[in-house]
Amino acid sequence: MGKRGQRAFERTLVCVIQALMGLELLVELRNDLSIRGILDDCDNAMNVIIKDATVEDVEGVQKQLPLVFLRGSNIRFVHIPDNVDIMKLVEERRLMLDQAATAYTGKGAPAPKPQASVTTA
Amino acid sequence: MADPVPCLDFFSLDFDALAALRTEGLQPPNPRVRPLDNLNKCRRILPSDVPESLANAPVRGPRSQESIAAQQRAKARTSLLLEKAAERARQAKVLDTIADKIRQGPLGLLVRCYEERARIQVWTRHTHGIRGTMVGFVRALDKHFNMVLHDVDEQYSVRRRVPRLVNKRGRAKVPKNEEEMSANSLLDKVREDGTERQRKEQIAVGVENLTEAMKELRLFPKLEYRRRHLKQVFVRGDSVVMVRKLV
Repeated sequence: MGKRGQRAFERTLVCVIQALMGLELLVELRNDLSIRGILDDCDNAMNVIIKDATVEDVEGVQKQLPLVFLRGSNIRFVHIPDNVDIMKLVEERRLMLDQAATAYTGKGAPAPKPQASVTTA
Repeated sequence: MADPVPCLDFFSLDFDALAALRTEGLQPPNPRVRPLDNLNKCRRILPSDVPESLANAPVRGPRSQESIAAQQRAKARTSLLLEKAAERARQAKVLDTIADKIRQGPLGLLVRCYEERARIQVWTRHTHGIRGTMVGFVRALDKHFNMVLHDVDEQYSVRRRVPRLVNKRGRAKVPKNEEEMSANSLLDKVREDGTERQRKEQIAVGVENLTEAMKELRLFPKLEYRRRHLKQVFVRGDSVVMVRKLV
């Protein structure tokens, strides 16, 4: 059996947000603020870093911020670009992680066990 | 201390182990000696004249070819099974696996909506109270109620602070030297002058000054209702109140 539960984020939809890294998104916060910018990083708790952000409040007042760190619990919505297929992106990312794991260490990805050598008493 | 009964005396030949176990409060001669895991382990301490001792153990011959071959086959079988299971795990779509985990229980209704591509209505919340509803199709789902919705019609309310003109708090002060700007004197002035344009200007200025004296701009909280259409949106679970499946 491959290492089930190897990656904690692959058990919740945080993997969707992580697959969207590098794209321009609109993030809506719980206090009705919206931040539009490039998603730079996302962790397992959905905390995100957004670059070149434009923050807009309910009234419509805009502000430019070069780098924003946002705590995941404050997110209400993440607007995904229309042309993006999340199923495909998530699978691609997972494939990339599997390949990256084998490339460096030889472990990490589910691999067949080597045959045991013959021993005589 | 009384003489121990022969069947309960650890050093006697008539020692009955079962009776000793059943006797309450009976302590072995040296209670600090660690108990052995199983009978086999006691072979090492038995004297060599006892037939069960290690010295009299039969010598194990070299493993036969059949037994070695059988072991190899068994290992090959298990490794093949492991490989197949790993391959299946890799083939399974991540999003399907995540949704699969909540199939049992109340969230199973949502999982069925996800599989049937049914339309659902999701109620979302502010800090205090309902924000609005979203009607759309489920693209992804998880146990926290995080969802990716598709083709969404959202009707929601937003709390804003709206500026409004209201009477000033307390008594409005009309300055003395501008008394001539009061409403009546305005009309008199207007009648005096002939030109219509001049008349209008004077009224406008007069009204403005009066307004300034008596009214002010204040921000009021207002609940504004909006609606919009979203193609694809990720909803975080802690904003979800309720979900309803639509036929």
